[in-house]
Amino acid sequence: MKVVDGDVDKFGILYERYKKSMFGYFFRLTHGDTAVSEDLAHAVFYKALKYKHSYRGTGTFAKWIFHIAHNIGVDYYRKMKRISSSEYLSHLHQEDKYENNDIEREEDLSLLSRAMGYLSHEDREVLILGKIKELRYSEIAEITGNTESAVKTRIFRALKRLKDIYLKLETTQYERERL
Amino acid sequence: MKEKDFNKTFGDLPPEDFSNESRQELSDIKRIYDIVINDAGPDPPESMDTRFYEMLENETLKSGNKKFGSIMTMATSSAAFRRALNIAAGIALFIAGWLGASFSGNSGNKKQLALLTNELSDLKESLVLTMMKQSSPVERIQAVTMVTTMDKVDSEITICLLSVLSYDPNDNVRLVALETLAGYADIPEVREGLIRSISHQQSPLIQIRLAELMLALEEKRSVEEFRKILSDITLDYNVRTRLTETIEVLL
Repeated sequence: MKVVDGDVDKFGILYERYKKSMFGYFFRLTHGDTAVSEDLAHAVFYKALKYKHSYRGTGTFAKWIFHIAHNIGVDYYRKMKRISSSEYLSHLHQEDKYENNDIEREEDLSLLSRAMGYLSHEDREVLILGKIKELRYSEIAEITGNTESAVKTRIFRALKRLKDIYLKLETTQYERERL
Repeated sequence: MKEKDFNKTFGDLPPEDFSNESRQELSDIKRIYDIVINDAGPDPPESMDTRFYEMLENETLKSGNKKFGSIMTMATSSAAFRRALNIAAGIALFIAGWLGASFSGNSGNKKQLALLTNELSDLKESLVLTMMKQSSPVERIQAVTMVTTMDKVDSEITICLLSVLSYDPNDNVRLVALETLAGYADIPEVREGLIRSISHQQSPLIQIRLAELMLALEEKRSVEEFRKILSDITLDYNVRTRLTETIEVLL
């Protein structure tokens, strides 16, 4: 609220608090594209600062800023749809580069990232929003323009689809390794 | 923070979605859910910080806010300080490694190595505790931030952080202390300290953040403390609304 009142330097604290979840949101949405995720996350903080007066303090700050992120993500997705499908698909199937020593976990995450690439933008987004601890399901519903129960159903169905794709990819990978 | 619980979240969905699924199917979905939820994701690149703080500088200059100097100093010197600390830790590790390699197998020297490691940890703790008492808010923020780089945090540090949260004259320092303490909220003493600190807060940002935290922790004992804040008739309208909502959910 101090930011809204013009005390802009407080925005640094909000940035420090949300930068990881915001970057992670776009990183998952763009399938591990670090450069694009940085650009989109930067655009969110830029808009938040520019339109700080639109935050009325009636909901959580997390909800407000992820609403901005949602709109920026939708715009990005629309632009991506305009580029050739092969370019888009090759972009989607990039594998994440995790600095993680736990090989099994790294494989899980890499497979997860690939599986997410086969979901629709809406399914992918609702899954990513669902994992953000600062956001309640009722807030995700407001951000995406749904009811709370519709959001839960959407997440569950997206998880089901993700599970099918994930298991398929896991089996394919297992068979490839056996050959 | 509590994880979003799978059964609690989806258990009340219509049967065609949830209860009609086979046990194996639900178990597979839960496995995917766990991977999604527990994927912390990567850290943002440093260039994102640089771009953000440059943008903030421009914006602050436009709005004529003279406090910005402190933000840039905080962002840059904090990064430089952490780098210096990492180098120092690297040198210490090298010495420790060299000692370990030179005297491996000798139990007396193993003890010396353990002693050295403990001393390094104590040194870092002393540095943090000293810096928390500095007059400059930037240095106090650096000290609080340093706590997150420590392998283990003892009660001396958490007591000091709780004291910062309740009594530091600077809201930014208090807020950073709150964010740090939130990571240790599973320690009963820290949790109690967080609850006690509620009535000491004047900043709407901190009051709201504490309300969010208490909701996440489902901490009913905080209700009385929030009521103390609500008894202030000059309380910000938005904070009043948020605290009232928090109490309603907690009870």
